[in-house]
Amino acid sequence: MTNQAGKDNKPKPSFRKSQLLRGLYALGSLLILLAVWQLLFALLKLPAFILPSPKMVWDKFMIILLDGTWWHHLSWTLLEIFLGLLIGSLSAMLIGYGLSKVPALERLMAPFLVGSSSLPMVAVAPLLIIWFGAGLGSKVLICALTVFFPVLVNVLVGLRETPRELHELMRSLNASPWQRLSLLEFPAALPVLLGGLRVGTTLSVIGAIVGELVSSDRGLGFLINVGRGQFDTALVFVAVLSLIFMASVLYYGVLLLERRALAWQTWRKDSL
Amino acid sequence: MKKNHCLIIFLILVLLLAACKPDQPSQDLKPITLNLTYIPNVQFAPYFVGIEKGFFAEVGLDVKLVYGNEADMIALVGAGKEQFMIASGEQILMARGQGLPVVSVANWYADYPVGVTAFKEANIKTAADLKGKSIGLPGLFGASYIGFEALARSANLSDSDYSLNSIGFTQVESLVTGQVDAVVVYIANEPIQLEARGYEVDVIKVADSVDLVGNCLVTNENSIAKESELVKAMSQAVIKSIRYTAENPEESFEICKKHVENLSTLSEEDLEIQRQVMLASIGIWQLEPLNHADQLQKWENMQSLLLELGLLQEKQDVEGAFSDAFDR
Repeated sequence: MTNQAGKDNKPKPSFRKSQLLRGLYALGSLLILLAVWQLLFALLKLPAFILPSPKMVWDKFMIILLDGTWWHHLSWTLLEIFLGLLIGSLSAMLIGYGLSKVPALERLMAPFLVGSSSLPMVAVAPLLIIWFGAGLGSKVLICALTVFFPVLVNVLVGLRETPRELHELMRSLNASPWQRLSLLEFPAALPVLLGGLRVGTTLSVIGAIVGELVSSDRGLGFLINVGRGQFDTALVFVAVLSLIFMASVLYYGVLLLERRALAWQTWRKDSL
Repeated sequence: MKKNHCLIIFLILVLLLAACKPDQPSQDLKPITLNLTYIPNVQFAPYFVGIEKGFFAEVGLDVKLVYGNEADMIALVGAGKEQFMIASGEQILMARGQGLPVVSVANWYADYPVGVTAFKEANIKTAADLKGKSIGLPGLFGASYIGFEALARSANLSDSDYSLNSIGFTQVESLVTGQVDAVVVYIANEPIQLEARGYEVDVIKVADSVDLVGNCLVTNENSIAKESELVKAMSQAVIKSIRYTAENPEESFEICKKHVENLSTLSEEDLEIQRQVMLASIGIWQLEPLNHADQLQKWENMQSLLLELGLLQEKQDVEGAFSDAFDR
């Protein structure tokens, strides 16, 4: 039985091939983007502070990579994102689970939750910085709030989607609340929950940057402000591209986690 | 495989924890936060000089510089959550109008640092030439907006005589790409940036038409009442730093490289532009204390403008907005 399961989990050759193809497509689109960028730079002849060439951006990246500036700022933004993700998603899971157990409370809170999920963080961030200071705490809070709502909504949807007959089965087996949570509700809600986490992860990057753009002395958002202030657009490009890279890595990290965590759901494999 | 995962997670955690290692506070010095607004920039050279030359330490202060939105910061100072910041005169009066007891204790800028810049061929030489033009400014807020309104009113222009465009902090880019005819700028920054890149520009300075209060060292009434020695020490150290920077610009610029992110990695050409920006900034600093009557006039002018613009609801006693007990 175990051998059979292990065999099923091995990626099939066609799956590997499709992964390779996907990688090649990504590389191809990157090369096309660079070519178009270089072409625009050559044709438009705009000053470097309006559009720097790919080479200028690469040179700037190498300078700040080698002198440690890049990691100094990237690590700070990463720290904000990790703490924000942790606090935002854990609190969303706890509150979501609590709400799902008290339907009346969920109905009461629903309008507030729907309204709050569309909260424009860029408008709220300055207030959070006034209330909680300009340090790490306010940025983590902004990140956590950005992550909180999508994860919360997905927790509620995930728990609601648990088949009723399985609930009845657990009841007939006299399962304890913990057994219901760990053996039924959590595994059943996991696909939707991880989907929410995936969305939350990319949103948390936006949250961290919004906070840093408003007020900071460290992080990639700060680096964007510095580049803008010094008309060093190559530096702005480096920071923005680093953000895209970071968001992609985090997204695929959660996707990988999703793939591993849901490996037992063999019927979902192709959709992941 | 699992061991590898644990090792990777451990390494990430170690690197992230290293990222949050706090700065060690200097011993026997009182830690003070000074909010400079904006971002680290050569225009803030005196504060970097004050730290590096030990002018703050001489008066027993360990100053930490922070940066952020001026309006947010002034709310923090007014609420007593922070003690010192740099703010422009209009922000001080508007904050006081909202009941925030902030007070200017030392002038940094002698002139209001805002102006309007256009390419020479646009033939915009005076404020009256702005009639019928499209003008870009960061937004309808802050010193740029106040400065522009003061300039327009000095030439008897009303809102219908020009079109104002909120372009964010993209004045140089918007002008170069022809999106607007003229832009509202900090006279010590954008015109220097443009000229250094080969563009010929005219600058109409707000200070040539009306005398307004520029950037000041700001604290709150509570600090003045309860910690006047601290306010005096801070004011004196700031003034000493301003003077030293003005007298030693080359040394000061070298000091800036320690505090202004990315400065050292700029190209020779861009570095020279930054040096020019710092030198131009020095030209608008207040190097000698202003007498009380002149100060009062500046504050009265600012109040009249804010009342006309509807940014102040009622007249206030401007004597409360500034103090000259600490800067001499």
